[in-house]
Order: sequence, then C-alpha cells, then structure tokens
Amino acid sequence: MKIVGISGSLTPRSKTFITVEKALNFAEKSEHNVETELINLRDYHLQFCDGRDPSTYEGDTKQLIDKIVEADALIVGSPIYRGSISGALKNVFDLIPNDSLRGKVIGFIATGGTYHHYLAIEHQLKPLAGYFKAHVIPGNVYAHNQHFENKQLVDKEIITRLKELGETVVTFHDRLNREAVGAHQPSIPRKSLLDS
Amino acid sequence: MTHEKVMKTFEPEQKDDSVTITITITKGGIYLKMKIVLEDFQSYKQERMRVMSEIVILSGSPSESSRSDLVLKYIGSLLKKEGFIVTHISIRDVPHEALFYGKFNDPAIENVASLIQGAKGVVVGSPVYKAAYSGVLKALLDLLPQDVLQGTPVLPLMTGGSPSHLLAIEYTLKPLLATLKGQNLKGVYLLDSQIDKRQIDNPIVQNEILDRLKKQLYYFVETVNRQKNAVL
Ligand SMILES: Cc1cc2nc3c(=O)[nH]c(=O)nc-3n(C[C@H](O)[C@H](O)[C@H](O)COP(=O)(O)O)c2cc1C
Ligand SMILES: Cc1cc2nc3c(=O)[nH]c(=O)nc-3n(C[C@H](O)[C@H](O)[C@H](O)COP(=O)(O)O)c2cc1C
Repeated sequence: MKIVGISGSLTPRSKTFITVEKALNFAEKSEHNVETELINLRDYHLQFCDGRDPSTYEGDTKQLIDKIVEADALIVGSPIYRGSISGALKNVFDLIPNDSLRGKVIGFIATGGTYHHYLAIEHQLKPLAGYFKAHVIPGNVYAHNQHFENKQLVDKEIITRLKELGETVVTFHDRLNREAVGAHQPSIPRKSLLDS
Repeated sequence: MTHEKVMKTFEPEQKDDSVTITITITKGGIYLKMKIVLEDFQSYKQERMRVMSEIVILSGSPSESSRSDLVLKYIGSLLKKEGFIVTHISIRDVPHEALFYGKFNDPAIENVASLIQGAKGVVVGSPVYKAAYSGVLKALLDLLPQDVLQGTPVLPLMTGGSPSHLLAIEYTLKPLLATLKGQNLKGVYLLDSQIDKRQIDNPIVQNEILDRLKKQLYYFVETVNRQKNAVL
C-alpha cells in the first residue's frame, strides 16, 4: 500500500512537516509492504483552483493531483491559521476530483501555537473528509509550540501519538473495504463556467 | 488640606466652517480659560464621513466568469445608491505569489488590509468549494491582521450549486470572519440556478432570494449607519 503524506505549511522547517514525516515513518515501519511519500506544499508551485476541469491542470498542480488520486491512504497535516485549515491546503482539497479520496483512510494532524484550537480538527478538517467520503481514523494528533524545541519535536507523548496514528492508518486500510462508503449524497448540479 | 471643588465648563460654538470650544477651569477664585478653534471644520467632517462610509466588498472567487462576483457587484450598486462609497476587492487582483507564499508584507496584501481596516462595513463573498469557503479566499484572509475586522459589521455571502450546502456559511465562513473579530450578520446563500450571468445589472432571477438579499442588505446598512452615528 502507498500512503501519501501532505504537509499544508509553506514555512521552512515547518512543524507540520516534521509531524507528518514522523507519522509516515512509523507507518512505514509497521508493516513490510508500506510505501510512503511526503508532499511538502512548499516544494510545489500550485495554481489556485478556479473551477476548471481538474483534468486540465498542468505541471506541479497535475503532479500533485495525480499523486493524491493514486494514494491508497493519506496522512494530512495542517498548520492552524485563523482557527482553521491553511488556505494553501484548502486549495489542495479544492483542486482534487470529488472521487479522489472515496473510501480511503485519512489520518489528520494539526499544529498550532497553543492547544486552544485543538477542536479545529473536528470542526474544520474532518468535514472535508466527509465531503469526499473518506474514512477518518478517530484519534488524530494535535501538536503545539511547546512540543518543539529548536525546530525539533521533543515531546514524547506527541511522538507516541504520531506512532499510534501512523500504525492505525495502516491497520484501518488493511481491514476496510473501499467500496463500502454508505449512502450516496444529493448530487451537486454543476454548471460549467461558460453557462449563463 | 481643604478640598476645593474644581469647576470645568465647555462651551462649543459651531459656525459654518469652524468650531470654537472654550474651556474654563475654575478653582478657588482662580480660573483658566482656553479657546480651541477648529478651522476648516467642514472638510474635516467630510473627511471623516468619507472614511466612515466606506464599504469594502471582498470577492473570494478565483473564477474569471464568477457568479458570486456578479452578485457582489450588484450589491455594490445598491449600496452606492444608498450613498456609500464602495470599494470592490477581488482575490483575482492579489498577486498569486503573495497569496501562495504567504507574503504578509507584499504591498497588495498591505493595501487590502488597510482598506478593510478602514471600512465601516464589509461584505465577504465566496463560492462553495467542497462544502466550504474557497481555499484562495482563506489564503488571503490568512495574511491579514487577526483583528482586521474588529468592530466591523460583516455580511457573509456564498453561492453554491447545491441547496444542501447552505450551512457552509454557518460552519466555515462565519467562524473564519468571527476569528478576525467581525460582527457577522445572518448572511445570504444563493444557488447557481438563481443567478443569470447575462443579466449584469441585476443577475438575480428569483424574486424570493432577491427579497431576502435586499432585507439582509437593509439590516447591514442599518447596522453600519448605527455604528457610524455612534462614532461621529
Ligand atoms: C472546485 C469546485 C468545488 C465546488 N464544490 C461545491 C460544493 O461543495 N457545493 C456546492 O453547492 N457547489 C459547489 N461548487 C459549485 C460552486 O459553488 C458554484 O458554481 C458557485 O456559484 C461558483 O461561484 P463563482 O462563479 O463565483 O466562482 C463547486 C465548484 C467548484 C469549481
Ligand atoms: C497566519 C497565521 C495564523 C495563525 N493562526 C493560529 C491560530 O488561529 N491558532 C493557533 O493555535 N496558531 C495559529 N498560528 C500559529 C501556527 O499554527 C503554528 O505556529 C504552527 O505550528 C505553524 O506550523 P508550521 O511550523 O508547520 O508552519 C498562526 C500562524 C500564522 C502564521
């Protein structure tokens, strides 16, 4: 199986990046057939989603969409900006096709300044997975400034949680039938950009 | 030490283009009289009115042929009729590099921040993308000061293809505007089927939603005016 990690921060030596990388490493070590790739949004020159057909994007944007479409499971990390997902990461969700996460397992990670915005995972990140009919593992990880020292993750408990998260993503993926995603949603009438 | 009463009197006298304020402070038979003259008062007042009455309309659609933007333009024209000075900002006018790489100090970002900060009312529009606000609008709001909407009435507006995503306003857009300390009004959600792009003057083709929008706009104007009068 292939797990794709996404770090939704654009800052260098990002805390989000560090945590997603760690969780991916734990996932990879947990079973012999696990392959991982970490997408650092900082390395991708993305277009902003503007409503065009997703298959017509090119360059880095196309590469990113393809990698997410091909992933079996994901570990998605966001810095908390204004109590929610970063705009750059929201743009990734905007860009990808509606069926690209269907039935896939997602583990969420968020990093913030303090614990105050812990619930942003529940209220802002999980609903996105709901839109895509992805399976979110129930326990997610939130880390904040005090868990880091000199740009290193030092908090033992957070490291344990990242291990639990990484391993659970693998376990869930192994046990789930991707086709079993429950009921269909009401369809969204989509007008093409050129329609009046 | 005896406690002597200090008396103060203020006597403002308003003429056409100046205000004279005479302040007299009296303490135990000694008095101090100060006269302050504000000249050119009319233009001072006008200047204040100008700053006070500014409405900023922020469009969060990256689409070059945008439905939400058309509705926002229409709202702008209604507000102008009410005598407001209206400034439209679109995320399409903000350089991609500044948004994407989070350049807080980019002049375009600073300009948006100061326009919004100076506004007496702000309308924020977004298309629904994946049951939430657009990522590009969030990218812009991430770069603005966290109290950029402090004390400002805000009218949120979203357009979507589906009636089932109306609550995206409540669960995604309003919390975001509240984090920036805006005072949210109820807001308006329009469906694509209620907007005709060929009708630029008034693109809203369904009367019920048009009435709802006008009512919201009325509440918005009322709130803005109330605050304006309180400050002046
Ligand atoms: C990437 C993308 C995602 C969309 N997601 C939704 C959605 O989740 N729910 C919905 O009702 N409409 C959705 N739509 C439809 C738009 O919200 C709708 O057409 C809107 O009016 C577009 O506004 P605009 O023309 O101002 O960009 C989506 C459109 C695009 C391009
Ligand atoms: C624009 C901006 C907004 C932020 N808003 C919040 C916030 O609402 N809540 C919070 O806990 N931290 C907030 N922070 C702090 C970051 O979430 C925190 O430093 C995070 O760990 C950064 O992740 P990174 O190192 O991966 O970039 C904000 C930081 C920035 C730059």
